[in-house]
Amino acid sequence: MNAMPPFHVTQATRTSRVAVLIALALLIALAAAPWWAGRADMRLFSEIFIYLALASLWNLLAGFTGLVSVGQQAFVGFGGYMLFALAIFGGVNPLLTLPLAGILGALIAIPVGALVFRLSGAYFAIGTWVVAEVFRLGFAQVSALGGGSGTSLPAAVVREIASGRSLRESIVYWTALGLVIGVLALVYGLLSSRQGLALTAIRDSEVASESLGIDIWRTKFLVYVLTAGATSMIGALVFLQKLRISPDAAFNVNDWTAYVIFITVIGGIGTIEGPIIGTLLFFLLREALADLGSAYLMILGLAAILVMLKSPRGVWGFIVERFGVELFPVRRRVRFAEPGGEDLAGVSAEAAVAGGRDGSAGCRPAPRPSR
Amino acid sequence: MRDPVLRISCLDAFYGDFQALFDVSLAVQANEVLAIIGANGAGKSTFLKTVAGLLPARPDAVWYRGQTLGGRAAHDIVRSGIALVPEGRRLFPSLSVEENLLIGGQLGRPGQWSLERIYALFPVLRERRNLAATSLSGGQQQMTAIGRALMSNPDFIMFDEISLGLAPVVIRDIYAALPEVISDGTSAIIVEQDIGRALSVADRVVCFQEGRVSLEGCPAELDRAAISAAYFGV
Amino acid sequence: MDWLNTILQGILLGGLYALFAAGLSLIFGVMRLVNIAHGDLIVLAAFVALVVLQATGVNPLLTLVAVVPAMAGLGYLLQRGIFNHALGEDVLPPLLVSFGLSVIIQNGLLEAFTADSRKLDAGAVEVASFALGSNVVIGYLPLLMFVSAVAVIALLQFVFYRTALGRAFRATSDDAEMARLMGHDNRHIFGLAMALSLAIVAIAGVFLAVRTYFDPSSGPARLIFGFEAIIIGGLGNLWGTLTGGVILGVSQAIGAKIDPGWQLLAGHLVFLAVLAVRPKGLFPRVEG
Repeated sequence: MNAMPPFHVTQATRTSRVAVLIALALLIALAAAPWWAGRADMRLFSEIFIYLALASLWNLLAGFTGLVSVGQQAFVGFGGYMLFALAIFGGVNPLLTLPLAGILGALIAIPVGALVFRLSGAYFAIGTWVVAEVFRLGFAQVSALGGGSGTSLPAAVVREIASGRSLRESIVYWTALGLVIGVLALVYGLLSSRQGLALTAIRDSEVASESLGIDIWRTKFLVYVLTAGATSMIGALVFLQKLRISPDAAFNVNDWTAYVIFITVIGGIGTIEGPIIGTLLFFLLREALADLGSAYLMILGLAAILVMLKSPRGVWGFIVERFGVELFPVRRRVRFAEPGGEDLAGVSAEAAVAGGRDGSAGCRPAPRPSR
Repeated sequence: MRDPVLRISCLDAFYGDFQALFDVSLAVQANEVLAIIGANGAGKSTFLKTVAGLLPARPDAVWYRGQTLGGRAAHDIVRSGIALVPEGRRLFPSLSVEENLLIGGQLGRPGQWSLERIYALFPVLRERRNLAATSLSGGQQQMTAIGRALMSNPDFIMFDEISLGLAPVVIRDIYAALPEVISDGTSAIIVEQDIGRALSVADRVVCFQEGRVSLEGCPAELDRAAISAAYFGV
Repeated sequence: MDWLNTILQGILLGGLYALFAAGLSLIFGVMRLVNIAHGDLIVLAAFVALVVLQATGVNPLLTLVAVVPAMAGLGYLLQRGIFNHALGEDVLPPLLVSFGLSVIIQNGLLEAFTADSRKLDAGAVEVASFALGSNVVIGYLPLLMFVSAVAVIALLQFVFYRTALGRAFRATSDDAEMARLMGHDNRHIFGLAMALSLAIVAIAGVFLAVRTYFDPSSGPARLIFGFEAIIIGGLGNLWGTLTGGVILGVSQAIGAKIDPGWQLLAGHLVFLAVLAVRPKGLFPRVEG
């Protein structure tokens, strides 16, 4: 047998390197938005960032960890209410409440997670919904925070961010931009790390990964708590923008779960690029169908169903299959060193080695039977 | 020479990207018992599953009584009179012994097999008729599985490793009942790892090796050396 | 004796919750599908009853004659047209598809009927009641709902354990591949299961419409009550589900008596408590 040629393991692809350059340029443009974009545009960008962050987090939870939650609005609302509680009663600077809300969200996710993890599959999903309902009903009972009708952020508190309105809006905008970059970095970092490999292994086969020593329960629980914390932070940001909170707005299933799920599913669940594509499509569709009201949600729902039935990997999955691109590569490729420096056909860690037997005499080569 | 009742022609089978059968061709005559032997992973069970319709196949790869059967849905195929006693028995745990038998007869195909006749063949099942099927011993479960297949009054029965995991004395009892099971007009394929058993009950033997037919012939003609060579591929 | 009345109301309400749950439990038992649109289908049935009522003017309870077959037919079509194509190894597609369906139904109803709350007037039977002893009053309608729940569950048990169809359901649930070898077309079996589930949904929907005000967004709450009844009572046990529904109803009734704003919260907290202490429910079916 010949010795195996020297090889190294890489993650980047040529496309991804190009994409990084484009992303950097985009980032610089977005950071400069307060100087070239109007107020309405900045609010739209912030909204896009928020949905992109929420979708990426939900995707991490459902697409990569297999925990389908329809109750993430619990943490969005919780984060929002923590902003109000800490700023109004704790005298904390509103901007500082964001990371605090994140920590508190992660902390409360521990007992919540311990409860809902007793359920699995779709029952887990409904369980998360019940928890969100409990949060909603609970906060509606807190009269100090406005009870059932909610409350607004006092002007004095708002001024703590900055004294001038345009500076305030810029600061909130940059916070949103910073947060979404942080979330994307967190998700990508997690998935390309060894934890991420563990997650993919769990998703592909729980039995196999357990036999390899991966503690499934703990890994999933960790992701759940982390996602909850990040979602709470985003929730605080959402209501920092709105300056007003109420139980129905804070824990709204449509705003914080239905849209997020549809974005992720249509964009491509289980891929990092999916939520990006999905968010862009979502906002494009919203512009195009602005007048349709609830019919818009129906169309989204229909699109999500069609995607799930026909192309479960979503729009991005379709693109990957057709063109083989990958912007955020997490799979590892083995590259063998060849004299010309060319690498062999990228054999990703998951690909099976092709067979290559001839048919026996007497039978013509048979086409694959279609399923 | 009469047409074979079952004719397999250049059959391939795949599990996803993995190819399990390569250009398998064979035939079973009416009233004939064909034994298929081979090592683990040789493709024997895959073959039976494909004939039964649980795995896809090209339409003209499987001919039964002059009609193409390949690619038809499993529930259609059993209506045509092909029954499978699957590997591992696979009784329905939520059903009692009798319910397992009854569900086998769901189709209402006419024939000589009925609950009474099955109980006459395997009296121990009558005593346990209302127990959960999976609470029975291995041998009794095998009898139930065979009975369940018989209840559909098949013309063609396939037995997949019915001796697996059973004590020799139990295997002997089950094989003793086989002649009555494979009575007039019925053809059968028996997949067995126990070569001796297979040779003793079969009219013809086929050996599979890594998804291909490696040997074919009558038990009387084949010697141990030839079988070993075909079995292990050395 | 006011508490006795409260508890009694809660028990009877539990019957309605058990009705919400029965269809959900049936589908999960047969094909491991949890239909997130279940609650919205109950509301849809209520609106269908409304339409039938407006067209014919009969007593709302009589609309069952039309609503049950209509919903059953819809169930068969939904299963064969949509859910059958989503079912498979992965747990994600059926969940997301039923979630999408839930949103479509809610918004479809919103477009068709607006967000106004409605209620069907069943006339005299709504307020008719009889007294038990000196302090306890039982309404005929709540009693009818409870009795219907018991009847439905008894019927389901009969179908599952004493009919060929029930055998087919149980076998398909055990081992769908082997069931095909028995001559069953699984697509058809699943279609029948969903038809049966939506027939029960129809009954639940008509009772909902008569008992309380409903609007297009009332679905999720019904789903949650049914789900909580199942979890409290124990998976795989229909009589347990009835018990779960009763416990939920009683919790809500007691909560409401303490403070009207606490009605829903009390139920949820009891559910979470059971989940914490007895995750498999109070009377789970022990698998052989």
